[in-house]
Amino acid sequence: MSSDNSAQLSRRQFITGAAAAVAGLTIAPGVFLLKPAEAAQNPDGPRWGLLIDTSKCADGCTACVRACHEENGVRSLGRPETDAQWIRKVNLTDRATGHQHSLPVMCQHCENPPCVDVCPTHASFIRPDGVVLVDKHTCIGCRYCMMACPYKARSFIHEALTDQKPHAPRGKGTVESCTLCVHRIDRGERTTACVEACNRDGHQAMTFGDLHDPDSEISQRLRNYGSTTIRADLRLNPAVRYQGI
Amino acid sequence: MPSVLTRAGLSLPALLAGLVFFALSGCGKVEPPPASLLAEARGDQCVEPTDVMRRDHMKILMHERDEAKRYGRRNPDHSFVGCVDCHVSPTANREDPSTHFCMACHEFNAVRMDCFQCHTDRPSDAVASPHRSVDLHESIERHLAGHTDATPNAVEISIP
Ligand code: SF4
Ligand code: SF4
Ligand code: SF4
Repeated sequence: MSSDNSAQLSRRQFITGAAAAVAGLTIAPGVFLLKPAEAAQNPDGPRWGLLIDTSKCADGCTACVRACHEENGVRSLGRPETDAQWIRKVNLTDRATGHQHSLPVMCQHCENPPCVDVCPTHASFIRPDGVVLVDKHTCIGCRYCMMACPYKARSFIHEALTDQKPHAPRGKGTVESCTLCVHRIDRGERTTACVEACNRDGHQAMTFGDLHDPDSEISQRLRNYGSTTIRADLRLNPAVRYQGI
Repeated sequence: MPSVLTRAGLSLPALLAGLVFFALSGCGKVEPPPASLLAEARGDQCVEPTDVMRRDHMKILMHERDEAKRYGRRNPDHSFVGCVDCHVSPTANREDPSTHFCMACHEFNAVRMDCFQCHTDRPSDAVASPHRSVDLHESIERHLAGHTDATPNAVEISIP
C-alpha cells in the first residue's frame, strides 16, 4: 500500500514537482507558471521584426528568396530535397472564391519559440532582441527543432560546405534558418537583404524594424492597419507579421 | 640536528614545487612552425602580444564567442573573421596547409581544429561578399541573370 502510494507520488512528482523545478514558480499544488528556460527578452531594448503586406507581394516574384540566399551564401547543391531554404514563397488559393495570393515565409522569430523549448543542448536560443538563432557550436544535429517548428522554417545541412560567407558560418550536421540578417543588425544596419531586394524591385511589400519602438515605421504601420500572424492560434507571438492574409 | 630537519622541511616543498614547475613547463607551450611556413600578417600589429596569441588565441575566441553569438556583443579585436582577414592570404588553400596561416601551425603542432567546418577559411576580400568587395546590387543582378528557374523554393498551398 505504502509502496503503491510512493510510486504514485513519484509519478506525481515527475509530472508536477519536476516540471515545477524547471518552471520555477508553483502557484498552487499542481498549478505552476511556465517560464521559458532561456533568459527572457529585454522589454526595454529593441525587438526586431518584419511586416509583410501580401497585397503588394507580387505573384511569381522571388527577389527576396534570391537575395537572402545570395547574402547568406546558401547555394543549391543540385539536390532540391535536401537543399537549405531560409525563406520560401508560398502561393495561397482560396478554393471557395478562387482568390490567389503569394507571400514569403521565413523563420517567424517567435517570442515563445517551440524550437528553443525542445532543443536538448540550448543551441536553439532567442537573443534579448528577439532574434531566434542556432548556436552551431553546440548544435548536435538532432533536428528536434525542425520537428517542433510549426512554420517548417529550419533546414538541416546534409553535406560538407565550402566558401561560406564570413558573416554566416554554416556547416554539415547542424540546423539553420533565417537569422533576421543578424550580421546587419549587429553592424547597426536597419534593413535586411530580403527587404532591400523587395524595395529595389519596387514592390515595397516588406518592412523591417523595431517592434518595441512606437515611432518606428513598422510599429506605426502595425498600429494604423490590421495585421495578423500565421497560425496565430498557437500564440507564439511571432515577430514576423502579415497584412492581407 | 634540528637544523638538518628544518633544512629538510624547507627544502621538501621547494623540491616539490620545483618538480611541479618542471612538469608543467612543457604544458601550454606552442611550438611555432619554421618561419618559412608562417605567412606574413597583413596588418601592422596583432590585437594582443604574440606570446599571448600563440598560447591563448583559442581561449580568447572561445570565451568571447558566446557573448557575440548569444547577445550580439561583438569585440572586433577578438573576432574570428578579424583573425582570418589579417592572417590568411586570399590565395590560401586549407587543403595545402603550407599556404594557410592557421592550418600550417595546427598541422605542425598536430592539433586538430573544427573551426573551418563552418567558418570560411578565407579572408572576406577573397569571398564574394556583398558587403566587402562586391556591390550588393551588382551581385544580385549577376545572380538574377544566372537564374532561369522563375520560382525556386515555391510552395503551392490551396485552402480547401
Ligand atoms: S518560426 Fe520556427 S524556427 Fe523560427 S522561432 Fe518560431 S519555432 Fe523557431
Ligand atoms: S538540431 Fe541543433 S538546434 Fe535543433 S534541437 Fe537539435 S541541437 Fe538544438
Ligand atoms: S531577414 Fe535576412 S536571413 Fe531572414 S529571410 Fe530576410 S534576408 Fe534571409
